[in-house]
Amino acid sequence: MKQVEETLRQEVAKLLEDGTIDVFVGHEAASLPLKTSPCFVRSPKEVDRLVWNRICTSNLATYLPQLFKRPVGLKGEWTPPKVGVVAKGCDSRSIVGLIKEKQIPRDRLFIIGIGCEGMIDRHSVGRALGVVGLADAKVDDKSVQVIGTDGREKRIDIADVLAASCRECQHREAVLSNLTIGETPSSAPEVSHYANVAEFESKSPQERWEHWVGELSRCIRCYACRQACPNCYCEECFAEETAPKWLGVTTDLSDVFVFHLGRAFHQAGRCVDCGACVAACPQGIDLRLLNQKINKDVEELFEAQVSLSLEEAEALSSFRMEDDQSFMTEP
Amino acid sequence: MLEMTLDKSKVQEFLRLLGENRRLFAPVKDRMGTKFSEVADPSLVCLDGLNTNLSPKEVVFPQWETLYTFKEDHANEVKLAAQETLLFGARPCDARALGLLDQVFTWEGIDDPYYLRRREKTCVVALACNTPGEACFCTSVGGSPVGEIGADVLAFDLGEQLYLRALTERGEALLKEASTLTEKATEEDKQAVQQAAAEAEKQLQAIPIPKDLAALKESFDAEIWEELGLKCLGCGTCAYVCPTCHCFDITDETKKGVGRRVRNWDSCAFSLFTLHGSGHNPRTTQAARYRQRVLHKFLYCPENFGEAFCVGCGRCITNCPAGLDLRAVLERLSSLAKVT
Ligand code: SF4
Ligand code: SF4
Ligand code: SF4
Ligand code: SF4
Ligand code: SF4
Repeated sequence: MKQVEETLRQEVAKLLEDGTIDVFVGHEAASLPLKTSPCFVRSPKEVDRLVWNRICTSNLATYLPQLFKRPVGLKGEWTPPKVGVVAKGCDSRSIVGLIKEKQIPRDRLFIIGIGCEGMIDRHSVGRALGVVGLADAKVDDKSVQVIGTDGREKRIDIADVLAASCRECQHREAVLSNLTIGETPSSAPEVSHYANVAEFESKSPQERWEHWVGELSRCIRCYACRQACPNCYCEECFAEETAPKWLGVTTDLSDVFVFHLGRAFHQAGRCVDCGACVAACPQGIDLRLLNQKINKDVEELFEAQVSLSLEEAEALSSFRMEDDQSFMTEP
Repeated sequence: MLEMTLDKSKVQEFLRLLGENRRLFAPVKDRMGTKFSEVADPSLVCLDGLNTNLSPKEVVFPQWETLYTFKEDHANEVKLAAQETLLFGARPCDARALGLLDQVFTWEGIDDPYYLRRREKTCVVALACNTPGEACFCTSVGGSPVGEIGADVLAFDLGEQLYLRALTERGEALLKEASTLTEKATEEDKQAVQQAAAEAEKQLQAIPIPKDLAALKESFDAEIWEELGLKCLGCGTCAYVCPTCHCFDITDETKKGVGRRVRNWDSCAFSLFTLHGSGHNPRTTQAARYRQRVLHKFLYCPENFGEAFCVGCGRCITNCPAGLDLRAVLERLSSLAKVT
């Protein structure tokens, strides 16, 4: 990993030096253990800020559209910058989606793909620690060595604290890139895909209802899930529209349900299961189950996966005669 | 000043007794560590966590509340009565934050009845911290892990027992109510408390806090906001987990002529926060919004209330999905202030 990080820095320095890019979007260390922060590197002198490790969890695609927006109030000519970005499998798929949805221009992007063995979920580490905080952590290939704020040490198997999305990830290499570095990741895990959804679907309506009441009554409407999601770039989210008003402003269950169900529907055929929404949630709500249900339906109804290439049409923005039409009713 | 001790094996009994005619809010275990919850069963109370993932401000300033209801042209007031409440186990930073909120909601002699009805009925038993958390910096912002501001009783965990010090009349009355369970603190207890207090304060990191308000004002156009704005996702997390953030919105929710006026938390990080009806938005960039969050706390509040509106609880740091760290920002602002 150190080696990959070094190569990344060198490559980015070159790209900035020869003018291929104006700014590079990567991860840098944050001050707390097991946390990184997105960073925007503009000069070869700054490349040492870039890190590559098992906690580069956030989906950097989210940070791209803003760079291509004309600065407010700027008069006269403006050329959008040339932007470099480092991409895991999921980031690259989100980038593909954003290009197709015309939120970012392919020709101003330089994507460095890195194969990914899965990222650590900080919430899971927190849960392993219980009620105390995380004072320090060291990560190696197989384990995370943590020290709690109570001074107690603990060694945790990395497999036990991988993000849920990463455990089932089938696309660990960038699907679109200008350059790839690092080694080919080990083959995708042989897990039963959508096991969580299948298990959930087998429950009674009452149990399912209770599950979501339990989860969503935790929601504080902070919208971190939405803001961290590359697909949630709407200038005005339906959740905040006032005419028409789709939902109220409270944390009443009915309002929270409408928000989450609405957002899930807006992810149909677009969610790449990057897990950014789950990682961002300060309340540890399992939004993945909802998104995966939609992903499973799209996959089963249209035999399609989301954003795997620029060329292929996306399931919900194309029409094929053989598409499932069972949900249609006669007029 | 009443100083008592309570055997830890009697904490549940103590809470049960005091909870008989009060709503009891205390930390309970949660998947995110601990959280404040209204507890009916004191055996669920967990005092081993440090600060809860969400602050207890919800107890006096709920995320949303109905201000009044209306039907066509007729408005109905809501009842302002609130129940006696015991907030047990809030950390000193959170108690101090309640003191800050009090200033906002009584600012310039204008009392906010919705806030005060709950606040006036709330007795706060703060629990001093023996070991600070990973992002705590209370001492840098004028607080202390053993601070008394905002609390009615300050408790210390002495291992086998809790030491309880009444700080207000309300606190004294509370302790008297449970006097059958407590004992008078001995000189030894008091010494142990002093020692624990000194130990705790020593463990806290010192963060440079920009105090030169004129220099902070100069920072308005500083470059650092640009990059911070690019990182900041514009969510409401930092404001919603913060014990001192108090911005709210007021909305009418109507359905077929019947409606209610609701007040709910808001965050300056949201792009909608300053959006005018005309479509104009004075804070067009996330940089401007993030700057507002920091300067509101460290410049505008000192100007308006004489102190910064941050108690150093660290929640915005541990919860920020973008890995932004207020401590680092303050450090950079302090060095800016030195240069200019
Ligand atoms: S979802 Fe896949 S590509 Fe994305 S972080 Fe996890 S393992 Fe890597
Ligand atoms: S909904 Fe969540 S998992 Fe899906 S793309 Fe958005 S952030 Fe990623
Ligand atoms: S991040 Fe979590 S708490 Fe915040 S709105 Fe989303 S689900 Fe709710
Ligand atoms: S929690 Fe972090 S990302 Fe969200 S608004 Fe606050 S600083 Fe920005
Ligand atoms: S600004 Fe952050 S550290 Fe300060 S009181 Fe609020 S949440 Fe706590």
